[in-house]
Order: sequence, then C-alpha cells, then structure tokens
Amino acid sequence: MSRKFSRKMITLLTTVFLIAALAAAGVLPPASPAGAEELTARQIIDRVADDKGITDMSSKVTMRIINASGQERVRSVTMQSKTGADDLGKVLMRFMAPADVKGTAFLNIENKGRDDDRLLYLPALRKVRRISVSGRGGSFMGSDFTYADIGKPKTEDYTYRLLRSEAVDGADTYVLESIPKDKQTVADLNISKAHLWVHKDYFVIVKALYFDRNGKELKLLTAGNLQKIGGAWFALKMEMKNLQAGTRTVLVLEEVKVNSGLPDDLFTERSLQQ
Amino acid sequence: MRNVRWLIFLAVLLSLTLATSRIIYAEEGAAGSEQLKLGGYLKLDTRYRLGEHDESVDDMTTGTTFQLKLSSQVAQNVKTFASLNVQGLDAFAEAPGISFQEGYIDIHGKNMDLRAGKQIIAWGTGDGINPTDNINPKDYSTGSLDLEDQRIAIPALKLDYYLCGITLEGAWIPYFMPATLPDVKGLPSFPEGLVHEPRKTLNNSEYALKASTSVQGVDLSASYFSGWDDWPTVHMTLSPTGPVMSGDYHRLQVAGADFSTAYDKFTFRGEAAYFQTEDKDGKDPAIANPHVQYVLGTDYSYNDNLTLLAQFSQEIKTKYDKAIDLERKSTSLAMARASYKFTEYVIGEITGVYSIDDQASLINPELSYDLADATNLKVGAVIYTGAPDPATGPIYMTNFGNLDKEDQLYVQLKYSF
Repeated sequence: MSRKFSRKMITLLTTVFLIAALAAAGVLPPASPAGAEELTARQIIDRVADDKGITDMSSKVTMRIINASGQERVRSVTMQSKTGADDLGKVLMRFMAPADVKGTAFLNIENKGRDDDRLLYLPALRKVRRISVSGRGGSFMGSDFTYADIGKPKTEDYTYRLLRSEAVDGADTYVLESIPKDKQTVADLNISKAHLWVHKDYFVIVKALYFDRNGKELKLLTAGNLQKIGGAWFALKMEMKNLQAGTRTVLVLEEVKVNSGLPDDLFTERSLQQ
Repeated sequence: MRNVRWLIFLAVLLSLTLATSRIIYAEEGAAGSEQLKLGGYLKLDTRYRLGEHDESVDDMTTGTTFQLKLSSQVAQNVKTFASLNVQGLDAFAEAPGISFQEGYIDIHGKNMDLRAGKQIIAWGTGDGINPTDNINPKDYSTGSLDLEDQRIAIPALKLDYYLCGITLEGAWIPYFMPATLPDVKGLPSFPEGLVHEPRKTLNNSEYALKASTSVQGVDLSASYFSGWDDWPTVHMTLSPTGPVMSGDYHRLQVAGADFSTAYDKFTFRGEAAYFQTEDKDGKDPAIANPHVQYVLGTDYSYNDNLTLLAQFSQEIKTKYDKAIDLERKSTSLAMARASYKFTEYVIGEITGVYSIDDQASLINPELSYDLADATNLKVGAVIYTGAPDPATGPIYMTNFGNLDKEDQLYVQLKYSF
C-alpha cells in the first residue's frame, strides 16, 4: 500500500500550491458599485486572484467523485496554509479519507529563486520523502479538478477579454474569456480557452466553462454557498462536471478559518510527522 | 515469556488509553483532547508457488491479517498509539495468534519529542535498500517484498531534539531482537534451539544517533548505529559426538550518511554506510567482513501517469581474503521500476532487480486496483532467475539464484478502515 501510495502522491500532489486558493478566487471585499462597470478584464481578474488581506487559512475539504455510472468515492483532507511577509506560501495537507491513505501528510513550501520544497509523509513507511514537481493539468486526487483548477491562479499565463455582463442565479456577473498565451499551457492543461463568470460584488468565480484543444466544451464549473469569513468572500461549494466523460466532482469546504495566527513551526518536517 | 510481558504491557497501555480518553473527553468535551481513534485493516494474502519445487513445500499458502490501530490525544502534548495483529483467521492457518505490533507514548516539548515503547524507526533515503537503516530487524518469513510487512517493531526510547534547523535523534534499544529468517529451501537454516541470542544486559543494548538538516532543498543526514547484526552466523564446533552447528549474533557498528533532493520532475537520492563487524581483519570466514555499502537512485515523473525509477547499489568488503572468504569481494545490484497509472484506480507496475555479479534477478510485475474507497486488490508475481553458485551451492548465497525455485503468484486484498 505504501509503495502504491507513494507513487500516487508523487504524481498527484507535487504541484499543489494552495488549496487555500480554492477560495483565493473570492477573497477580496466587494468592489465599489460605483465605477464597477468600468473595470477592464485584467482589473477584474486581478481582483479575483489577489489574496490581499488573508495571511493564513485552515479548512476541511471533502470531495465526492461521481463517475458516469453514478458510483461515488469520497476524498477528505484538512488543509492549513500561510503566506509569509515575503509573499511566499506554505501549505500543510493531511489526508483523512479514504482510510488506506489516512495519516498521509503533504507539505509544500514556496521558495524564492528555486523550486518549492515538497515533502510527503508516508505513515506506513514512517518516512518523510522529498518529491518532485508534477504537471498542473493532472487530476487532483482522482477528481475532475486539476491542480490548475484548485491552485493559485496564474493569471500572467493568460490573456483576458471582457465579453459581456450576465445574471447567474440572480447575481450580476462579468463574463470573461481567458486564452492561454502559449502552446505549452494549452498542452499542459488541455484547455484552449475558458469563459469565466465573475460575481460583480464579491469577485468570486461562480461559473466557468472550459474548452478543449479542439474547441469543444470540456468542463463546467459551478460555485455556490458564498460566505463572508473573516472579511473575505468564499465559495464553499463547487461542482466540476466533465461534459465529455460524464463524471462530476462536488467539492465542499468546511470549518474555514482565516487569519487565525497559524504558527510557522506548523509548516515543518517535524509537524508533518505528528 | 516476552510475549506475555508485551501482552500485559499492551493491556495496560490500552487501558490507559481508554481511561484517559474517557476522562479527558468527559472533562473537556469537544474543546479538549480527542477521543480514542480506531483504525486498521483486514488483509487477505494468497501465494501460489510456480514451477518445480520440493514436494515437502506446499503449493499454496494463505494468510489473513486483521490489524487494529488505536490512538488517542491524551493531553495537548501527549499522544498514545497501539496496534495489534490478529493473524491466521483462515482455515489453512496452523496457529492463529495475536501479536502486539507497536505501542508507544509520544511526549512533545517545545524543542523535543520523546517516544517510548515498541516502535519502528526507519532511516535512509534509498528505495528498498537502506544501508543506514539498521535499527529494526525484518521479518523475511512472510514472502512479502513490502517493507511495511517486513519491519519488526522494537522496544526503544527515542528522543528528537530540534536546534537551529538541525534535528538530532537518539535512540536506545534496551535489548536485541533478531530478524525472522525466511523458511526457504536453498537458504541456510538453523536448527531450533541452536541459535544463541545475546543476553539482555545493559552492555548488550543498542543505540543509534542521527543528525539531519536541509540546505537549499537538499536533505542531508549523518548517522551512527551500535548494536548487533540481525542475521546469525553459522559456527561449527567439534564435540565428542561429532561436529555441532550453532548460530551466533555478532556486534555491529555502522556509520552512514544520506541525501535527497528534487529538481524539476526528477528526485535524486543517495545513501552510504560503513559496517564495522567483529571480524575486523576479515580473517574469520564465519563472521561478516567489514564493508561499505552505498545506494544511488533517481526517479522521474512523466506526464502524471508514468513514473520511472532507477537505482544502483554496491557492497564492497574493505577486508577480504580470497583464500578464506566464500563470498565475492563486491556485489552490485541494479534496480529499475516503471509504474503506470491506467486510471486513477488502476496502476500497473514492474520492478526488476539485477545482480550484476551473479547474473541473477528478481522480477516483480504487479497490478493494483482500488475496488472501492479503502479497498484494494493486488495481483502480482515474484520471479527469480539465476542459479546457486556452482562451486559452493547453498553456502554462498547468490542474491537471487538460491531462490530460483521460489517463483510465486500472489493475490492480496486489503480493506482499510
């Protein structure tokens, strides 16, 4: 089991930056209504991506992964993250379910000028192993979300265009089109473009439609249960449907706490093993 | 006698765990310490021997293991953990029994962690071969290649101290526990009662020290172990009734170091150790010679679905006399593994280990399928190639040649909870 899990983790976890960024899409306070319509596409996406004001966060993440036949599997992790004064992030994830991976823990520490430190604790082996980088387009824990979907948005890799305004479930949204700037991003993510529906008041992405390399609709994201926690807005429930494979994943954030003063020594190899 | 003592200790520990959990839960409720947590697994393992082999050996073996794990946060800085195995639940089992696997108490201080009790201490960065990992003996009798199944927990006191980015570890093992040897035709065996374990005295206890740190993404450590070789050696003595064979254990000191680092999609690991045995001059053919062992390896993750691993290890005797030593001066192993994820729940893997000097190998193809959450099925084979050394037969063990009649298929079903 341990060897299998080690293998899985090497391929699955190596590019996890911040599950915290699940919510980073909506951490800004509401924009001023006056002048909101005058924002450019770049200004809108910058406000979506900006995590200003949030220095640490903890939550429980549960994913229900449903295949085309309706069979369901559940993945659960606890996550703690912190951003330092140098704007470099640290994330500690502990796996709670399924039972065969319970106790496994993953630590990611961003570094300036070199690769992130990625350490994986495997309880069956009683060892912490350093692991390498993996692709952003890989499935996150077997779900319909990729690391790119849940990671901190790399807005510099895309060009954005404001298409229109539209109501989604009664909320006013901006509809943006995002297109990868280079072929490598397209190849990595298997995405040629996306349409993003951004809540006009909370700057949270409430809906997104992704297109594959052939321009066909690939995945549909819907986000709901918007809540204000610690002065920031979070989408606590997301559903990603793979429109081609017929699978879907429902992701729920619970017990979300922000700016609770997580200590630095939580993000160490010592803590990883406890 | 030892089993009885450990069962009593287990009973006390479990009682303590249950009692403290209840007390603390009652006193502090949801805001306080955690309740007792239960976990574990049920594992069914069936192995079928392939090809020609001795008729006295069964074609098929089955094993069923139920492991129960209990943990509790007794206080903010104190945790307890215990696990016990119930084995032989199936009809083929000869002697069903309960064994106490691990049981320890953790105490966490500001700059130190203390763990007391029966535990596993795993060192080293290599994959499967770890020259610096000498604290826990291994159980080779199960036939499993999985380290999780092989490590035997030992009673120990372990202290970790954290100082300026350096972790200092010290472990004291009050008495020696030997490896469980494989019951395999073609390998030397020891008659019951003729293997003498060291007496349980303070002088015969074992200890180990390790310092580790990380510099610019490179993990480094240096370690030292003073204890006993887990494998006995054969001694022949003459008596009035003829030659008598016996097995003895010998002192061992190991000084080692390891590293690991990652670059892009590659991970690099290395480990080396010097083994100082009792046969310091290499003149006693019955005792292992002093030697150096090192491991260098890398793994590469391609396209999220394919992982490749390559590793080379070598053991070189630093004292060697060709006239009296039956074994080679050096032996080298090359290892490769390819793992492919067909879907998120189906993984195929093939591991090959080749003994360059012996021209013998081990090949282990395996298919792993997650039937449901926490339920995994593995189907695989272990195939050995090569032959015993023609000059010395079973006395000099080639790395895999002596096992050439031990090829097997296996099916393993595991449910975790």
